[in-house]
Amino acid sequence: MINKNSIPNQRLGEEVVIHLRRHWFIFFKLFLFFVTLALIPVIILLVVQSTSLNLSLGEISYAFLLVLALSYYLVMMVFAFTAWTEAYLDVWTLTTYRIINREQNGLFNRVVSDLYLSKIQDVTAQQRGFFATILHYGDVHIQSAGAQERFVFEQVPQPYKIAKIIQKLNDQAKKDEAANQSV
Amino acid sequence: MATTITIAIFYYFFLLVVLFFMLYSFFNIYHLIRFGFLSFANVLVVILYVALATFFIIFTFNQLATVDWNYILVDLSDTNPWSGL
Repeated sequence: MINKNSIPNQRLGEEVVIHLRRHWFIFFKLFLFFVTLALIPVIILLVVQSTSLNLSLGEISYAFLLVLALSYYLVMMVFAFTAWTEAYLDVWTLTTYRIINREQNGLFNRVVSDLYLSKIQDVTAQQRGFFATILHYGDVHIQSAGAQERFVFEQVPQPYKIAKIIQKLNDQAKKDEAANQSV
Repeated sequence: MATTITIAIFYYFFLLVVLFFMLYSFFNIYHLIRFGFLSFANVLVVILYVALATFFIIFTFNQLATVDWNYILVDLSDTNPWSGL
């Protein structure tokens, strides 16, 4: 496991300002989704029982339904864990010099990239939707000066506040760069 | 030559599902240990998942032990493909 304060290719004097993850509500939505999936077989069973159908299962149908139900729960459990892993391993780190983007896109696709704060041209925060508005989460879009694709912090808490922090750090980085060039 | 298919075929299918489950669980845990932060939440999730998965696998095999897997699903011994000729 990685130490929270360790930064890949750390520069002298570089420090972590903040680590960002998705808002807790995103994890809660995942949890609700999988709980609903887990309840479906139980609801079907209750409905079938309430219709007073004769459910005297033979050996074959009992074995088949048992294997089906257990397989369903095993697959659902591992998919829920994969969804958690993918969401949890998406981390955006703001340091005093740059932004580090760590994204887990599926189990076999991990992207780590960084962007120097002085290269940032534009920062846009966006809250879209009912829950995003009342719970204060949303996306932060970061456009760099180069041809490099812009970064997106997805579904992070307090996007406007984060955008302000990035803008402040960007101003500071530009001032430092100008001061270094004049020396 | 065996001329019957028993319901153990369902059991073998389930073993494949268990294999898939274990492989994916392993990859998930590997990723969380390799790339996750050393935090209480991360350690707790890994430990809880391993405990829950172990409990569930034991539970499933206990349930499957109640079934007589020798029960015949398809009996091919009475059918002779050449009988119609």
